[in-house]
Amino acid sequence: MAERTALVVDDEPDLRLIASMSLAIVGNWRVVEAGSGAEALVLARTGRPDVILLDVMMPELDGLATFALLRQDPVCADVPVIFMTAKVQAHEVARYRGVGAAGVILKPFDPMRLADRVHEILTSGSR
Amino acid sequence: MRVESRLRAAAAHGSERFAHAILGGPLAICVVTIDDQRVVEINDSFLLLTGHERADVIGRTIHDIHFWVDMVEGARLHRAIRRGCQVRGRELRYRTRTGAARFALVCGEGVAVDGEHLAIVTVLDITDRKHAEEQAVLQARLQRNNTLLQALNRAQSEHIAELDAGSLFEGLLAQLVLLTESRFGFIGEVLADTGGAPYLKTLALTDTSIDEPSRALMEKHRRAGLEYGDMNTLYGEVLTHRVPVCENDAAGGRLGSGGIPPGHPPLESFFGVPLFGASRELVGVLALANRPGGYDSPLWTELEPLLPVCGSLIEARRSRHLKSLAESARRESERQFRLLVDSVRDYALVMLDPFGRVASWNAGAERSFGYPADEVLGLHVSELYPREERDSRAPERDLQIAAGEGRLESEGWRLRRDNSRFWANTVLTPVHEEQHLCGFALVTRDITERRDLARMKDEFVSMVSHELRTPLTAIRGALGLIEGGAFGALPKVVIELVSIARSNSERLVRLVNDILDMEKLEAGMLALGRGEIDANRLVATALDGLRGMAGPAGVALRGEVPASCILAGDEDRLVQVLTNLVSNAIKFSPPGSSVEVRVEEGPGRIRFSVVDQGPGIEPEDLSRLFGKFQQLDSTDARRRGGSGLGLAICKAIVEQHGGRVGVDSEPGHGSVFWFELVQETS
Repeated sequence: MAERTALVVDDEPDLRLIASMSLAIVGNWRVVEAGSGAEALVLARTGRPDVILLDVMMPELDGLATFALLRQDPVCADVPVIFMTAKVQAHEVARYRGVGAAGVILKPFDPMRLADRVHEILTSGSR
Repeated sequence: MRVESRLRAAAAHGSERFAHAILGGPLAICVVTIDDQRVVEINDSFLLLTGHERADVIGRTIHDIHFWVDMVEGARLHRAIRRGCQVRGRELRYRTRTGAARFALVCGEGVAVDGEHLAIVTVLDITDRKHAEEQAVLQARLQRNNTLLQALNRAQSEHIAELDAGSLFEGLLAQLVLLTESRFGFIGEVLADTGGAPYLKTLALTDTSIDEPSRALMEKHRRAGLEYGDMNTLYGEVLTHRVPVCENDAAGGRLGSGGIPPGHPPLESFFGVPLFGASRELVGVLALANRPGGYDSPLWTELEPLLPVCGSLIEARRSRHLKSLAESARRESERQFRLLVDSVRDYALVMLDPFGRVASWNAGAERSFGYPADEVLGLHVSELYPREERDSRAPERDLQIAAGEGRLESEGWRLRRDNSRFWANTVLTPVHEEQHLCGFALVTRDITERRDLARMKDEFVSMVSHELRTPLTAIRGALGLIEGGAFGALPKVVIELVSIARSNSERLVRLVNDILDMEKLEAGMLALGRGEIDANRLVATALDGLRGMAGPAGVALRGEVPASCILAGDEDRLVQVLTNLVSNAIKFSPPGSSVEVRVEEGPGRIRFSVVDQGPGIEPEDLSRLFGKFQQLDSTDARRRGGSGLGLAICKAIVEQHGGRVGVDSEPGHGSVFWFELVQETS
């Protein structure tokens, strides 16, 4: 199977690192990191990843705005996006799901199972 | 002729008066023996007057011919004559041959004729005069009755015209006093005191004042009514025995008793009659006093037919008085209600007519919406909605729903007079009168501030939760990767230490989750989803999530669920409840034991039980298990790693599902934590 690329977008470098390591070491993903929404838009367009793990709460361009712009870009409009959020209230989660994301992963997550969760979401097309 | 001739002879040499009596025109003369009243002589006038034949009379006694109508009076006359009295002008009734009774003026005296004692009785017929007199009396009585009837008529008319009750009864009493020739009197209404004892309160009272102080007192009594409560009096007798009481004995003890204030004219005679209402209830007493010559039964006979009218008037007055009291009470109640409604400033209380137009508007409404009442009355309620709501016909829809469902509570934007908006909680209730919709009661409260506060709180909780989770994610993630062997094998002691750090970071996450849940449950903001849930999947999800915890603890997990068991509810939240109960059970189970989840279906309900083989719970601890921050042992929280909120959250979630939660346990015999959900049976 060809190497898959995940774009991990988070303004928190620690969380970016944990997620990247989890995906790379446990799930054998090739990981590209972005520290902001703007950077993510550029990397998504140039790298066209297989999945984008997108943090919601980011300064300036937050996750939802970034998601909307990604959807408008014909190059990466169909790349599945999974929101990663520490905003775990039901109405918040429902809102993220409602905009058309492939899934939502709540923080904190189990790093040893993160790759599996991403795989599940991509194969089932839900959660 | 023997006696007649002797009489004539006696007249010739005797009294001129006697001769005249014998011979005079219309005088009928009858001479009888003084001993046995046997008729010895009569004149022609007697025969003419009585219609008797001479032969039928002479030699017979006065009794034999039934001459006197009242035999006793006749006998009394003769006794008087025999005693030597001269009887003059006594009125007696005599009887003619045909039996007709006629009036006569009778004179009589005894004479001795030839040693024979005789009584000479002269009879002057006065029947015509008597009839004329009676006619006059009757006429006068008729006149009085007419006057009385007119007085009653006037009283009734005044009553119908709703004139002052005081003057009505004053007028009636004045007429009654006048017509009965009484000196004074009163009309009293029968009332009962708080103990049920009857007393009289005057509706009218004759003015008997004699000087300035007594006039002032009388005025006060006439205005306020004088109360008579002494039953040991003449009016008390009327009241107690409900019969007329007549007392003419001025010297008698009864007249002096009770009720006469100092300075009042002394009582010489009294006539009191009970006054009954239409239902024979004693409603009043008419008391009259000091009629010259006293009271008699003809007066009673005369008054009797008129008394029911007096009773009816009192009854009507009472009924009107009660009605007026009720009306006053109603007006007072309405006034107080209006005050109440107007003093409520936090709520807009608005009445709408059936078409949704504003019919009443309180101070709270003015404060909330900014419209003064005179500007808003008659406007349609839709004026209070923002334009987009009006355009979508939301106001009409609200009225329709409220009318159909009996009540509509909602939240939404409302528009003030200055076009600013406020977030309102509204309750719209249809108001019916005799099953017809007569309008709507609209209660509106400006909850903009409350809503903003709730939103701020929600945002704060969300932010705190997010800010706590972010570092915890990093800690948990880093430790998880090390512990999971992502960087190769580590010494056992390092693994143990990392595991401790990782499990404590998870404990912190749970605490944050629990506090967040509890806050939302208490604010009533935990929105539950409702879908079909497969009980097998529910149990499997919960148990799978806990295998990582049960394994190291040496506790076996088992599930026992009927093959096809579907329920309705919020799956995530019910997994949370089950996870909480099972993780608790694992924490308290000794290694080598098992925790079992059983699902049982009953009629209209489904029960989940989590059975452990732990130490069990003391009976006195059972009741506080589901409270907040309850750890049975103060060391529990540290030893078992709980927040003390888990069971309280479980209880709240289950109860929000309309179910109930509980525990059965005995020290040394394990525990069964259960929850039961009501299921609609199809």
